[in-house]
Amino acid sequence: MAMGKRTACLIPAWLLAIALAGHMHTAPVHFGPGNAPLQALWADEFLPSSFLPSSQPKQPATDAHSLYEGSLSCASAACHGRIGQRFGRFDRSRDEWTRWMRNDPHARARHLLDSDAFHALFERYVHAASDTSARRERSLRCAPCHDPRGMNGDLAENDPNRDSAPAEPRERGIGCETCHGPSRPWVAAHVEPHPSRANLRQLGFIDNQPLVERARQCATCHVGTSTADVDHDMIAAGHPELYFEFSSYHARLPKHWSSVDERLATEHFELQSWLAGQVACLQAALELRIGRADRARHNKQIGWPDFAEQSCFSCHQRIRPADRSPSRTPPLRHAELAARTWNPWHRPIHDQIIEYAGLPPLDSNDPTFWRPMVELTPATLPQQGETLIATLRRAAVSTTLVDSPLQPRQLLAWLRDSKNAPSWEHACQQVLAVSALERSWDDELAIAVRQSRLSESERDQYRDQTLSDRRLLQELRQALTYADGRRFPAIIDPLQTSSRSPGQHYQLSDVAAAIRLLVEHWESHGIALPARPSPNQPEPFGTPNE
Amino acid sequence: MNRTSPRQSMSLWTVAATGLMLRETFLCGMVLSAMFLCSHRVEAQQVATTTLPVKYERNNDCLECHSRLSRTHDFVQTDTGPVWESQDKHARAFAELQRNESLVTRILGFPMSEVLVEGRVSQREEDRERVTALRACLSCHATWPVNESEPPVELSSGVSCQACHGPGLAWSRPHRESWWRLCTPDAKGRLGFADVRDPLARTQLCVSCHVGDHGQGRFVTHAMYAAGHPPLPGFEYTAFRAQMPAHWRSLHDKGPFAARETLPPGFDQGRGFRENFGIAAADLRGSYREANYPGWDHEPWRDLPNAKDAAVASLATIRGYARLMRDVVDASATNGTPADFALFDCAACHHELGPSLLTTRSARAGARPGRPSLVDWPIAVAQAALDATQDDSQTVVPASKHLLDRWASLQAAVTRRPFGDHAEWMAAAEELERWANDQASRLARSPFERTTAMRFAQSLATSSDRLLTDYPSARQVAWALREIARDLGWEPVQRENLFRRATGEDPLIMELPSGQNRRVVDHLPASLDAAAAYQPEWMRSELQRFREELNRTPNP
Repeated sequence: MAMGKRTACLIPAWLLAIALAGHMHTAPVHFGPGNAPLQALWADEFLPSSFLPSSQPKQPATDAHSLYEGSLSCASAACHGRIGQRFGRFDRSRDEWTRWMRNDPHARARHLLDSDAFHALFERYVHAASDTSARRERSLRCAPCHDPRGMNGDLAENDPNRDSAPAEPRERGIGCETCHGPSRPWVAAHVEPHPSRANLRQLGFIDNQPLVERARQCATCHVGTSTADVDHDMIAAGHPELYFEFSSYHARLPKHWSSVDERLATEHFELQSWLAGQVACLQAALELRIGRADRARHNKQIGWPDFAEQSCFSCHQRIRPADRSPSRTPPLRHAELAARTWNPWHRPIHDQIIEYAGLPPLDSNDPTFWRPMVELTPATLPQQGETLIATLRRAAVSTTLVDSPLQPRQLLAWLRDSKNAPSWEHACQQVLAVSALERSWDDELAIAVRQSRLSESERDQYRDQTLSDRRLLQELRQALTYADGRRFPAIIDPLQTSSRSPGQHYQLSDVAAAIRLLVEHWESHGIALPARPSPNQPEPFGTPNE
Repeated sequence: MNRTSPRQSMSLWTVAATGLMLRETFLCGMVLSAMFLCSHRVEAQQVATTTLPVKYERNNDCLECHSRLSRTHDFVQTDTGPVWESQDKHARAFAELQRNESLVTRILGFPMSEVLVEGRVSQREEDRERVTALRACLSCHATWPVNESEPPVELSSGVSCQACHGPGLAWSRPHRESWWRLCTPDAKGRLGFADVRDPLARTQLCVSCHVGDHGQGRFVTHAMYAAGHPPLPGFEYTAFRAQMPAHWRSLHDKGPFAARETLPPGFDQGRGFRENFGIAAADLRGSYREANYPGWDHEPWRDLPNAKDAAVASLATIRGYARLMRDVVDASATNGTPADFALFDCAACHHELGPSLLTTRSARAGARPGRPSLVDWPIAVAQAALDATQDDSQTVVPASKHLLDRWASLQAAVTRRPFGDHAEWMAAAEELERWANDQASRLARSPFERTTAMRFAQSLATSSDRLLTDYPSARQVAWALREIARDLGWEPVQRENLFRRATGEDPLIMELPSGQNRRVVDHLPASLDAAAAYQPEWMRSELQRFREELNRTPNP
C-alpha cells in the first residue's frame, strides 16, 4: 500500500472481508468471523495492492512523512533523470523523470496554486473569510490533490493570512511518489538487478503496470476519495468539474514511460484501457459516495448529499415549461428525487461489464437497486454500496484475468444494445467509448503495417472507409462540448442555443441515432482486420517518440 | 331597498323569522337558525356557548346579497359578487385544477377525480392517504382550512368569500345590521369575521397562499414544482390587487364618513338580537373610526392607499416568508431531511452553466457560492418603505439597515453549511418574523401622505444595483412604483407606459395572467423567457426615466 501497513490495513480489512465474503461461492476457503486482520494480511499477498479500496488519503499522516524521499531523489542522470539520446540497449530509457518534468501537466500542479486564478477561486471558496482557521481548513481541502507533500495545510506562500512560515517541504506538487508510493522502504530494492514486482509491492511500491491499478491511482484525485474530493463549493467557486474517463485522459497524457511497448504488447490496448477505467472509476465513485455519506453521518456540518455527486443538469437548467424541456435529463421518475439523482457519469454500461467479467448480474434493472444511492439520508447507503463495491472489485479481478482482451466486436455490441442515451452523461460516455475504439483501431492498423500484415495502401483503404465516421465522431464531440471546443468532456449546457449558431439544437436522440449509425458502420467494415500474431512476442519498436 | 326579487324576499323572510324566534327562546332559536342558515350541512352541534359556532355558510348565501349590479350604499359593498364571480381568478381556483387535469395528475401521482365523489372529497377509508395528498392542493385551491375534516364550502367556489372573510355562519346575520360597523374588530373576530380592513391581517391572508403558510398546510413543495406546478411569482400586494381586480374599495376611495355612521346617543339598535350573538354594548364604539382606528392621530382615509399598502404588505410578506422558513425547517429537522428546496431562490440553482457564471452569480447578497440561498425579492420594496417612513430625527442609520442585517443573518444561517444550520436558521427566522411583524404594525398606523409617497417612490427608484441584478426584485420595484404613481395622480397613460418599451412590449411581464380567461400555464413560457432575458441595464435606465418624471411631479 501507499502508506505504512499500520495505517493502511485497519480500514480496508473489513472492506476486504466483505469483498471476500461476497466471493465465497467461488472461493475455496471459508473465513470465519473475527479473523478480519488476518484475512487482510493473507489477502494482501494474493491480491495486488490495487484490489484494496482506493480510499487511502493522498495526504499522509505526519509520521509517514519520513517515508518520502522526494522526486529529486529519482532524478539522478543515472537513474530516471537522463537527458538526451540514450546509449546502448537498456531495458528502459532512464529519462522518465526528465520527460515527466518537461511534458507532464502533473509536474505543474503546484504552480497552479500560485496563479491569480487560484487565488481568486480560493477567495470565493472561503467566501472571503479572514478567519485563519477557516482558511486553513479550506486550504487543506486543496492540498491532497494539488500539493500532497508540501502544503501541509498552509496556504500558498504569498497569502497574507498565513499565520506562520511553512516548514520547508521535501517535495512540492505532485511528485513521483504521489503515484508510485513512498519510496524509502523500496528505493534500495528497486535498483537491484532484477527486482520482483511482488516484492516491491510488499514494500509499498504502487505497481501501475496493470491498467486497473493505474486507473485507480488516477481516480484517487480525478474521481476523488472521501478525504480528497472536489465538493460543490469548490465547483461553484470555479474549480472545473470532474468528468474523468480514464482512457481518453490516458491517451492524451504525455507519457514518461514507454507506452509504445505496452500498446504493442496488448491487443487493442486502448479498449483495455477503456474497460479498466470504467471498472476503476465506478468503484472509486461508489467509494466516494459511501465515504461522503459516512462523513456526513459523523459530522453534521457537512451537508448531504453533496451536490457534486448529482448530475449537474438535474438542477442547472433554466426553468422551462414541461413541454419545452429538452430531453437532456430523463423524465422525472420520482418527483422527490428530481434534484437528487446520482450522477450517471460513472455507470454507463456497468451491467454489461459485470456480465463480461463472468459475474452474476447485479440487479440494477430493479428500480429500487440504485435507490440507496440517491436516498435523502445517508444512513441506508453504505450497506448496498458495499455489496456493489465488492462485486466491482471482483469484476476488476475478472476483467484483468480474462484470457482474451476486450474486442471491438464486444464493445460495439454493448453500444448497439444500449438504449437511447437517457442523459448527457450517458451520451458523452458513449462517444468516449467510440473514441477509444477509434484510437484502438488506429493502433491496430499501425501495428498491422509494422508487422507486414497490411500494406500501407490497404491501411489507407481502411482509413478511407472510416473517414466519414471519424468526421461524425468529431461532430458528436463538438455537439456535446462547448462551442469553442476548449475541452472535452466539459461541463456545459450542450443544448444552450446561445453558445452555438442559431437553430443548431442538439437533442440526445440525435446523439443516440448518430452512435447507432457509427456502430453499424464499424461493425460492417471495421472488423475484417487480419488477426495479430501471438501477443506474447512484442516486437521492439525502436526509440519511443512521444 | 325598494324592490326585491322573490328570491331576496324569501331570504329576508328567513332572516325575519329567525330573528323572531331568537327572541322567543334562545336555545330553540339557535337550533332553528342553524337549520335555516345551514340547512344543507347539518352537523351535530353542542349549543353550549352564547354564540353560533364558527362555521361556514354556503357561498351562494353570500352572493345572494352581494350580487347587486349597482352600489346602494357607500359603506355596504353589495356589488362585489359579480366582480368576484366573473372576473376574479380566485373563484376559478378549483376549476383550474380540473381544467389542467394532466398536470394535476402528474403532481399528485393519481387523477384527482379518483378521490372526488359527486364533487366532494371522498370520505372512504381507503382514500385517506390520497385525500391527504389532494389536501395539499386544496388548502390553497379551494376553501379547506386545517381544522375542518372536509372542505366546508363547495369545491367549485374555489377560494370562496369565506376563505378570506372568515367562516360566516355566526356573523352572516349580524353583519347586515348597521351597528355591525361600530363593532370592534376583536368582537367581530370572535364570530369568525376576519378583519380584512387591517392591511397587515389582509396581506397575511394573501401571503398564506401566495408565499405559503406551512401551519395551514399551504406550501408548494419542490416536488410539486418539479412535477410542473407553475413557479409562484414574487408577491407584491398592490400590483396583485390592482390586477385581480379588487372587489373592494380602499378607505381612501370611500371618503370621510365621519358623522354619517354615528348612532344617536342612547340608541341601542337591536340590543336583544345583538346580544344573542355575543356582542355586548362594550364591543360597540361611537363611530367606525373609533371602533377600527382607536387612538390614531391622523385620519385613516387620508392615507394614500397604494403607498401604504405597498409598504405594509412588503413587511407582512417578509413576515410570512420568515415564518414559512421557520416552520418548514422545523418540520424537516424533525424528519431528519434537508429543508425543502422550494424555500430557496430558484435561480440559485436553476441557471444554465457556462464560463460567464462566476461573474454573474457572485453578485448575490451574502450567499455562499454553491449553496442554495434566500430569495431577494421580499426585501426589494420593504427597504424603500422603511427608509421612506423613517423619522427624520434618526437618520444616522438608514432604517433599511435593520432589515438588511436581519436578512443577512438569515442568509448566513441558511448557507453556513449546505442546507443550513437548523438551530441558527430557526433563531434568525424567528427574529426576522418578529421584527417584520412589529414594523408592519408600525407602518399600518403611520400616516401615508403625499410627501411620504413621494419619498417612497424616490427611494424605490434608487434601488441598489445589486438588487436590480435580480429579475424578481426588479419586478417588485416596478410593480410598486406603478401603483404608487396612482397615488401621486399620474395619468393612466403615463402609468401604463412605465417599464414598457416604446413598442408597448412589457419586458418585465408586469401584467399578470389575471382574470378568468387567461391561464397561468399559458402565460408561463412568456414569463420564464422574460426572467431569462432580463437586462439590469435596461431597468436602471427605466428607473432613471422614472426619477426624472417624478421630479416633474408637483410636490406640495
